[in-house]
Amino acid sequence: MTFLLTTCRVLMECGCSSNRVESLLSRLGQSWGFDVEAAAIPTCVWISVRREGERVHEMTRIRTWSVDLDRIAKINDLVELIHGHRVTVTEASTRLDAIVASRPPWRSLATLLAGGGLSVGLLYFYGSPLIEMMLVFPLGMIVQAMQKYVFAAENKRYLADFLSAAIVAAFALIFKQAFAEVDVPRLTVGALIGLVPGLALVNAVHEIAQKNLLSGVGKLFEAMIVSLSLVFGVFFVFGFVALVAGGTAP
Amino acid sequence: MSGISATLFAGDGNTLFRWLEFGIIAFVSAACFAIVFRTPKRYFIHTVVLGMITCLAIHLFPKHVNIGFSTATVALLIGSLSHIIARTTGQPAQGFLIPSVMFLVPGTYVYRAFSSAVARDYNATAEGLLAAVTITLAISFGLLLANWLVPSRRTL
Repeated sequence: MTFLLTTCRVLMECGCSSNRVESLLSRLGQSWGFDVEAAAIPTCVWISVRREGERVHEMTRIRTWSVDLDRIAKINDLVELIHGHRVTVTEASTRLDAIVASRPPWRSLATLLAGGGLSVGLLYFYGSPLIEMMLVFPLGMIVQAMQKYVFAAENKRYLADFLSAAIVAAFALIFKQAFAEVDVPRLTVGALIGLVPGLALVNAVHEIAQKNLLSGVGKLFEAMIVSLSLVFGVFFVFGFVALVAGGTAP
Repeated sequence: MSGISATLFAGDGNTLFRWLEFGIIAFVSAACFAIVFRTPKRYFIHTVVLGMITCLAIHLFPKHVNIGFSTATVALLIGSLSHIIARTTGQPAQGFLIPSVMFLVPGTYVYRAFSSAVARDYNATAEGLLAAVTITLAISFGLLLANWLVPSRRTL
């Protein structure tokens, strides 16, 4: 039971969809001769295990959400081993602990550079001038650093979004003073592209389409709250500057 | 097809050079998404190439084509391709799909719509949200169709 709970918690935390987690638990149960039913929503998973008239119910809370494709791939390999009866429960638990404790496949510097790179890519597709693409690179890196390392704790997610947006907006206004050709809204969107919840929105609709209504609606609301955190962060800075310096926000 | 070839070869003699530049930027952007989403190193190149195909495919569509149609078609293409790669590598399809889908998701529309709402520009808000909803539904439709066309052989 502990193995099942840890597996589904890690999968949900790594961005796996609810219906896949539910079907995976049933499959794992079949491999070991149990009848497993599960209900997964973004904040928790309930599991019911039944065998020979005995029934056990458990629940695990999901406190963080991110996307970690490396861990999903590793758990996929482990599930295949279990399904092929090539590992015992004890061995599987040991391997799962190792997966949980494993380091990300990419170093911190690579992740930060990638954060800057995808902001530059977006501005290229928007047809931004070269100076804007150069300026957005460090901003994209700062946003990645805030999300992945500075405010990685579970209860600081929306604070991280708000502060990231505020910092990006502040720098965008400063850059506008130095370089006239800088477009503040475009630079802001470019730097925040790693945070805008487009993927969450798509996942939400995908879950709803597969009749996982609770999960879909939960993700839809999450996408909305993240969007609002970002927008309030940007407008907080714009409003503050307008109050201090006069004039209107860009 | 004539629309696509018109998109590819329209303009001056520098068009092919521009597409080469575009391809390189698409490759780098796809690599960045793959790193940010912690794609396993052994499947990095598969993911990046799929991301690059997505980026090129969505930009190859002529601008007069409805954005919902173009997004759904590209989503169907990458959904099918990711399932095929998943079958050959024995990995979950979403591992290849998520970094590629990022080129389609309407994050910018959502952000701009909420910005307009805060700035009390409700026409722009409605327009942005409508575009975001159209694109989101188109992606979901394309991916569901791909799931049906090339069903997954694995649980994850």
